[in-house]
Amino acid sequence: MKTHHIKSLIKKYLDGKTSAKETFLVDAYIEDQLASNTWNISEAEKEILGIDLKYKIDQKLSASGNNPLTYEKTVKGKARQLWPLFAAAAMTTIIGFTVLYLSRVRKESPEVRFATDVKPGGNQAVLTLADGRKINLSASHNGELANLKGISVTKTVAGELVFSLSKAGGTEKTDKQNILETPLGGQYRVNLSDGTQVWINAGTTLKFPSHFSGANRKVELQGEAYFEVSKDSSHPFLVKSGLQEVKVLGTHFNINSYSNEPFITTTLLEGSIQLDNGLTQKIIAPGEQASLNSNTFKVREVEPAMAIDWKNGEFRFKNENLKSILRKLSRWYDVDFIMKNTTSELPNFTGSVSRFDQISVVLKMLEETSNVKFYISGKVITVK
Amino acid sequence: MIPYPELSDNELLALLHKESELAFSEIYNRYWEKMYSYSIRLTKSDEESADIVQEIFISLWNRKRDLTVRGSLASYLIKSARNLSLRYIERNIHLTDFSEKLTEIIADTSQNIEESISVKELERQIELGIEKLPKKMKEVYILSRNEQLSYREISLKLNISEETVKKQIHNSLKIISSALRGTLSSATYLLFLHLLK
Repeated sequence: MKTHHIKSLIKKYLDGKTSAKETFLVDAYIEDQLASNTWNISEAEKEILGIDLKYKIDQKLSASGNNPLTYEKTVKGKARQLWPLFAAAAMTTIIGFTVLYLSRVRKESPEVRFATDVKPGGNQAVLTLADGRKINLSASHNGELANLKGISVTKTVAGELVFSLSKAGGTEKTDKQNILETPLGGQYRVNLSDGTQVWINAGTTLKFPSHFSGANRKVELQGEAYFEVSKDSSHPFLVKSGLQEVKVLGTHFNINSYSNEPFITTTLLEGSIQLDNGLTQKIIAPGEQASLNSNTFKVREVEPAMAIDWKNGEFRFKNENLKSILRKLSRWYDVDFIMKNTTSELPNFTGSVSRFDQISVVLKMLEETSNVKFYISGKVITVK
Repeated sequence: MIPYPELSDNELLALLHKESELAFSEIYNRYWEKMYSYSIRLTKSDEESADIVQEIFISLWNRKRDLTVRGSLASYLIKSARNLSLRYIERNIHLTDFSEKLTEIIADTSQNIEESISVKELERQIELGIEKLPKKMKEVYILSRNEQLSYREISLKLNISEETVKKQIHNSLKIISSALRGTLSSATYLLFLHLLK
């Protein structure tokens, strides 16, 4: 039977327009395929696949504002190579690949795949003052940028902004917020008027008042920031990110609340903080990390240095899965990754590298310990 | 409050109607694997099967309020997987993998079944054939038909070798073929498996 006949037979079947006999033919074919082919992967690999698909579904639904799926299990163990589905097919593929590889190896060397490189991020941010003025911090000179009713806003050095009480003028109680926003590929540091220091990572927005008045010191965060909160036990410091509210007295902690990550992750280095998701509160201790979303609120012990790698100018991975790493690289280098890796399971990575190198340095490190290959094309990187 | 894993499919559907995220999550947990297994045995592509499973669940959530499922939730989800898998096969029919097997089945079967035969008549004739099967063979058929198990899975379940499973099915064919006019090839026995759903 010719190919186009088969095509139209299947089309007819899908439209529900086949005769009894035609229906049986297609069903017979389906049954034959179901009976003769097997899907053989280990339980561990199944678990990983199940979670991976769940996450992908959730991601796609959250693009339209939904996050319906829950993640109960934590993935244990390293990802392993998936065995080929059909042994015979795999053999031909392996032989075919070897032949192709030898002839293509020159075309696929790093020099060719990384012919264009991508620069790392840097100190970039836009400050929208409480009075509405917008200042591009990377473009502005050092020195006092504004004075908001007695609060001096000064750019001290590249990458640092300080809000301080100036000698002249009084301070007025105001509810209007300042907004400090970093683009993808940007980072900045701001000293708030109470002395609290905040390091802000790429793709992040921090809202804060010029001067803290009232019982609490309250700020709002979307993205990632590391805080060193100045001690003031009579005025708790609150950080709101989505459905999480963190309450601190005087302490050092990191909050990761990007919208394309499955959890809001808060890591405590020093001091003590209380987290609130609107339903329950939990207090965590130094060395602990809380992971929170609409269905989960769990705490575990971690190496805090891993969470604030970015603040220290590096990428630090410990048994971290590739997709999570690529999300981080994507935000800092402002690139998009396209996954074309279908045959093998994605490995986990351990290592550290400066985040101020061009992206090829990081990608080479990832390639060294795995089978993945990266192909840079402008701002799009394909992963195979 | 009964834990979600203990709720029936219909109860989950009712909750899904009311936009329950936990019911949706439980439906996913319950069926993702069966759907993936089904798709990958047809499409032979893990990337495609992953896309198919995602597409079905995304559509399920988007249509949660006005979705009406005819029959069981399980058959609805598997039928969706079937249709999306067939669509992929139809698009890629130029790949010999797909067209060869289908051509073989069609060639084998065509001459033995009348073009204008009705569903009822064909079913009746096959029923007659199945009735004549010895007990063990019937068992194998039922496993393959109801649970869509592969030869390997059937052999594990009945504790017989895969070879025996294959032999059973081939032998059954010979018996059943006496109920239908002409001789049917090994590929056609599968028709019977499907018909008796």
